[in-house]
Amino acid sequence: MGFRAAKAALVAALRGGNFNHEPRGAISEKNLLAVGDVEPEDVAALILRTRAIDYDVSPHHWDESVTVHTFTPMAAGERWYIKAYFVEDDGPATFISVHRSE
Amino acid sequence: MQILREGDRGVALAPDRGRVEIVYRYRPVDLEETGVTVEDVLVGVDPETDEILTVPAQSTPKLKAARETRKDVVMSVRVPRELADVLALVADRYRAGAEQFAPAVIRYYLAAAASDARLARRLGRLGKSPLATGRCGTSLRLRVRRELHEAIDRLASSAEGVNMSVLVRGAIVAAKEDVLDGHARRRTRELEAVARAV
Repeated sequence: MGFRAAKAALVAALRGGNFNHEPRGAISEKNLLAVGDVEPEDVAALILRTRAIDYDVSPHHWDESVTVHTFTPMAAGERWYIKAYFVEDDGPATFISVHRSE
Repeated sequence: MQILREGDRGVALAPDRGRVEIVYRYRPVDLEETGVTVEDVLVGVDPETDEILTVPAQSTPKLKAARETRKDVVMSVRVPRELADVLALVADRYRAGAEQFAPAVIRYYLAAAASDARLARRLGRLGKSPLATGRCGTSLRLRVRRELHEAIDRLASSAEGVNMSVLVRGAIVAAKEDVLDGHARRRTRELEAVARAV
């Protein structure tokens, strides 16, 4: 899945409510989407405005066949950090991180 | 949006094991930074280890509510017993339980006063009226959002001789005038909606 396909798939998942979150032990409140501090539509807008230069992929540590998509768009002078993956192509998106860069 | 049910199954990644089948269960979950434990949250667990591997989108409102509650401020205000009777009478007028409705009535007036200078002055005046200034024989505990608490604090500090307790007592007397004495039809209708909601 390339940059454009990842964007489209994640935005569709957000708009369709077809997503979940990956807790690592406890639920990190730095995942602002998981705790409701940002709305799915806000995250979709951030992903849509991401330029190719602010996008990266890496294999997931727990399963290298799963691609983790990292979006780091700028919005209102702040850099955001959005990290998500799909375990299955037609399954829900799983968000690891949604927060402003520290 | 698909609503998952307890017992539904899915797939998630587990540390060191990769893809595993998960089953959705209601579990308490911990929020990392605040240490809050939220009860009865639907999560995807590994049936073998019971480890929580996913939290579906539908569980977010519960997590959000738990964090919001933590942000609430509990006010304790001494009031004359007669004002507690007024709150019970107002609740009775709407056939609502006083325990839930009384705090909602006070919050309604305080929130309205935060954006209505005339009402704020009225609450300050009524809070110093004879009915509100009898011997304070009981206390009310009132949970309010931190933002509202800050707004009330600003109102109180901007008026001479008014503090937050005066505004709370004023809110109760205002409810008496508006509802029991029938002085304000619009507020009476709005409070009726509040009564239905609590």
